[in-house]
Amino acid sequence: MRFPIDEIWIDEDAAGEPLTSEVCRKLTSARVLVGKEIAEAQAAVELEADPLLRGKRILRLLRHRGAFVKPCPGTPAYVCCGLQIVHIGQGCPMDCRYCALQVYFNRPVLEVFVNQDDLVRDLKKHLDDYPDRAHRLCTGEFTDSLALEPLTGYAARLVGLLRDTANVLLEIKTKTDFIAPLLNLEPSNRIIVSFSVNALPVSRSEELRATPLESRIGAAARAQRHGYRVGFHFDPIIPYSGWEEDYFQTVDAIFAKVDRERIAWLSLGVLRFVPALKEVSLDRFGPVPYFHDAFVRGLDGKSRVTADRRIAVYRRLADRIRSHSPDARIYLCMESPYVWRSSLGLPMSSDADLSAYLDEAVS
Amino acid sequence: MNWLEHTVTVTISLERVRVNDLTYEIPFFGESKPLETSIKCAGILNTPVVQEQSDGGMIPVLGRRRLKVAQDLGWAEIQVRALPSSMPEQDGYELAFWDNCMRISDTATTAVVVNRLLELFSKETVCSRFLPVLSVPPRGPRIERLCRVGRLERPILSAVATGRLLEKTAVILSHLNSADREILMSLVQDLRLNANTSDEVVAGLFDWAVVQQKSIGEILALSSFGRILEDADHPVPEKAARFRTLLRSSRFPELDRREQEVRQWVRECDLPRDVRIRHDHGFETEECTIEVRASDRVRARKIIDALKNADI
Repeated sequence: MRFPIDEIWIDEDAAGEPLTSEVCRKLTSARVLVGKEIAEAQAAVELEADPLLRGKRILRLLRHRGAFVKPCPGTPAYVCCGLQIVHIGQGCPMDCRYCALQVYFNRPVLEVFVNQDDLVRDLKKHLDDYPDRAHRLCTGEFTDSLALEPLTGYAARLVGLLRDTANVLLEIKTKTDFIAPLLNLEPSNRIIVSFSVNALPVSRSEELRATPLESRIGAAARAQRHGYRVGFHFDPIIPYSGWEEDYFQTVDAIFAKVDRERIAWLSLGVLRFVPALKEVSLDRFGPVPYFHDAFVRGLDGKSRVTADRRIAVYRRLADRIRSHSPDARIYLCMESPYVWRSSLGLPMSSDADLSAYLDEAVS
Repeated sequence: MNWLEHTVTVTISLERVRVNDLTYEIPFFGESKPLETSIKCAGILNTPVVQEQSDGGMIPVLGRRRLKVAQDLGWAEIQVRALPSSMPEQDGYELAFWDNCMRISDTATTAVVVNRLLELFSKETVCSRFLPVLSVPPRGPRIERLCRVGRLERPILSAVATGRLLEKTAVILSHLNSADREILMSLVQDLRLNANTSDEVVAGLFDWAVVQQKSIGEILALSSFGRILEDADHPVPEKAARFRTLLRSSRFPELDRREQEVRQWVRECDLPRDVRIRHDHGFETEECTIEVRASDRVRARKIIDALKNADI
């Protein structure tokens, strides 16, 4: 296990789930806390100087009681891709210094929802309720889709479930190269294995414990060779002085290894964050230069560099991508129609437009 | 154990009392004058509590300010309740805490106390026993932030206690070295900035220094800032406004450029006297807001009708 787990916390009502037994069987060296022991342990973690860091070595197994399928928490102020999140758990064992999850949840530990049957039931019901809609689903919003796959097998199960459903597309999004379980399955056009990528210096210094960039790109190539389509997410792009060359190298590295015809899409998103993230980052890591860049308050209340700067970044990066793949399906994550038009030259005035643009890429 | 039951009331020479010893300090950032007046009028109403030291000296446990005022007033002797030197530091600080907890209300005092408590007790004890009394959440990042603030220099703490600096500004200062903190404190003082503008300037300079990988001193040594700060011909509020404008345009050059473009464009539009145009905040979109001021509803109606009929 690349991400060591010291403790497993098992909620009382999660103890009987098959996935709980499976995880415990695989993590024999971890200390297991059950039921009431958890509250005490949780209080102790919260007293740590950096609860998030400690929490990355604790896996809580619990039943999820809410909806398993949720819309991406986008904002009406910008154009959202309309992704739907399949909620398999929350928190991530990696520790990217820019990660929004640091301020998103009020519990610092990793959580896996072990009531898989409920998830499957909820997911099927959701798909049945909206049979005419094209569903783009993703498990990698509140957690990494594959970081805990060796323990949970969630991705493989979902691939098996959704691979042949005509109006469904499942995106498995990761910063790891844990694709082995997917290579044991029959590939499907309905499954996109996508990788968060960044400039090499950013990846090395900011994406703590993530799989090295080269290995991620290598994994993308392997997934593609197996028959999957792949995606790449340049997010967050950090526009530091000299960013272009570093990001161009990543673009070039991708196209040197991966067949452009089998790339479903590439997304671009310049760093933006809720203001509290800067404070948390300062507490945890000290001054991180890019959080102190010239940010202004965006329409969604998040800190963003000016639209002019973002447009310039998107334009340059899109040009580089198009130099390798003129028809690449490039999209922007949470940007305004003005930025879309000014950077990519595309009219993208609503969420529906962007959804259609992406659905078309995989139809 | 209640150590107050183990005191001995004695009259001692004030010279024996080390009033600047901070072992049991609960700081006070207010004025001592009212206490001095009170002591002059009525004497010391509550006997201070001190702890004997192995060398014969005494350090204050309760009533540090009373002891200090008495010294300043030139008293030779004072009646005290003396605690044995065997009293552990933890117990003495706890006495001081409970004696003062009702007045630990400002951020600076809270920060110093929380920091000291965490030096003496386990975090678990501090969170369960003391923080609820101080209305500090017993978990989350504020505890660490208060500790950082609590370790800052007294002039900064005093500014926080008296509302001249915000807590968040103090947190930023805690991430700088003492030389840069001193420079920034002098700056906000020289420019007579209030708490909000101090925060804007301190946060802005901190951000810029981090990005430029320079010290605050190096940033302020840039000639553009130096010219403003050394300017003796203009009033301070004007200098402060120019400084803030320069800092903003230095940090946000694109925004500054766009704002200048818009101002130039508005000038070229030659707007009627009652019309103003504002661009979208932050230039996130190309939207503009046109504001037309009408003297009365009749005229407002005419303007609306004209707009409706205009071929826009």
